Amino acid sequence: MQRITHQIVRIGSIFLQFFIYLVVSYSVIFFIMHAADGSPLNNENTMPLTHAHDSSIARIIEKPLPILYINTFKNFIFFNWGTSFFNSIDSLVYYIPQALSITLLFTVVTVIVSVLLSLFLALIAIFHPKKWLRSLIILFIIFIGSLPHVIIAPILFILISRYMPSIILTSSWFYPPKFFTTIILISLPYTALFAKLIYIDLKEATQWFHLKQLLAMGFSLSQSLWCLRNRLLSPISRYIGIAIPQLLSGFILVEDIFRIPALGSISIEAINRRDYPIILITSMIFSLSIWIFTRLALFLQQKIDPRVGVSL
Amino acid sequence: MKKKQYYLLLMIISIFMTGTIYLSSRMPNHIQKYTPFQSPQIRKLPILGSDALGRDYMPRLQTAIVTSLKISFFSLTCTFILSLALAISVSHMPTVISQSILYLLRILFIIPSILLASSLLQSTKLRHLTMIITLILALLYPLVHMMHALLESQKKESYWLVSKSLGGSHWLFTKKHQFPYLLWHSIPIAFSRFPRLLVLESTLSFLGIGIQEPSISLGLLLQQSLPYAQSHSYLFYIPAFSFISLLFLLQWLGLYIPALMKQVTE
Repeated sequence: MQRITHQIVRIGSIFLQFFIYLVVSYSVIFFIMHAADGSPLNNENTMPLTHAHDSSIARIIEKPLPILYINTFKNFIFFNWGTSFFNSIDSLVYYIPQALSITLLFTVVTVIVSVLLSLFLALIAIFHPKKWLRSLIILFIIFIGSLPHVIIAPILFILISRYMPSIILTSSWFYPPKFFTTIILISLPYTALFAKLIYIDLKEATQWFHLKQLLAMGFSLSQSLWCLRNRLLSPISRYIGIAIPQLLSGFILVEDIFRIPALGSISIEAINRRDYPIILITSMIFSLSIWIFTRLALFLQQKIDPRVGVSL
Repeated sequence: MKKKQYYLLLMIISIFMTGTIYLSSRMPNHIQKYTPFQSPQIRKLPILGSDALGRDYMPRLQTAIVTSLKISFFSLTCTFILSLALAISVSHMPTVISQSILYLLRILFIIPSILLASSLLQSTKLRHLTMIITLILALLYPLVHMMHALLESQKKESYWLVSKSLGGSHWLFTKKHQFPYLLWHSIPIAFSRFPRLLVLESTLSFLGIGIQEPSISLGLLLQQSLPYAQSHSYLFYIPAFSFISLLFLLQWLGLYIPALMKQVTE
């Protein structure tokens, strides 16, 4: 009975935290958007309002700010997201989740690829017998960490489109060369970051008592490392909570160049067109996803390293 | 690395910076007599070639580097001062208030930079100011959070406990303990974030939300050269190479600043 009560209180506290977070982030985003003379739609370059009184935009502009604040919040919570100003046929409730699922797929695959690649690079940089190769790998890690998307994305796009013009012509985001190029592109900075973290951790870990013990017991290096996999992943686990939200909103530029209909490209298109409902909903999804993934990362960290002692 | 080598390195960097600023006084938007799309050449001007309007590419590149560095460095300095002030004030406040301030800063941090930049641009119409505020808000929370954690760990030190038991004032604690401790520990961490600010500034300019013509920054230069990247590749690869070198240099400097500071104390 006591355990059930404890669980209920715990879940209740999580929901309360989530709700407070939702209200505060909504308020900040709402008022930032309205900082531009009361409404982000006051730009004369936005679009011609031929029938201003009949249009949905005019209806939003004319409402007083407090009523607009409450109504929009209510609509957001009850999934009554309405439509875009430029497309009144497709409802955003169906349109945005599609984009979100593409973003999530890219994020999850990118995290897996980054973790595997970084482990591979860091292990070579530490355990390879040839010194020149170890130094080369360290230089390579620093080099890929210095490659921003703003440079590497156009370069890769130009190079690949030269040898594979179909990447420009295709409208599908799941076209394999396009998909895998994007994944590698997005995972590069995170691979460098994770590899650096594992490398720093492993530099001290060569004197590990446990590793020495396992090696002395006759296990091979790979078997010993497999036994210590949780310890190996421990330095990354605390950064995954930061990396996943950054990934969710951080590859807007790559989405823009490779024409991927994910959340970032929709968001930037909406910002350029002052499409108020989309801006609000995408920003809210970004901020809520940060809360959710930070919590999940803490949970993951606790599972990997129980000494952390953080509960969900 | 020896002390002399550090001084030599610092001298090279300062010469590079001052030289760039001096040379960038040439008008970057001035349309000269050069034919459009003149390739880079060593013997005569334009050394780095000319763009579609026949403008020399060299002063444009220099101005772009200087603008990006100026904006990022100014934002970094402002953020550092703001974070110092916030972290020290928060440490003297009751826990509820300090946690609320940190919570609000966190909310500001998680708002997508693009939304923030576009809304600020709409209200202020000043691109440089918008960019600086966006960069400040992107870095403020991580720095304040880190400084707050540092100050909390300092409270467990024996000298802090002794001072506390002797009944020192808040001002004395700030002046004698917190300020030097924070400065010493946070300068290398803050500087290591400098390349990130540079990348964020360039990305926003590349997406058309940051710096715009007639000013020029690295991101804008890359964006402008993108349509000619296949036909006149030097227009893209020269700023790209400069950008990568700059980032590499800054990352390297960021790695060696702690070692340099350690040597200074010794």
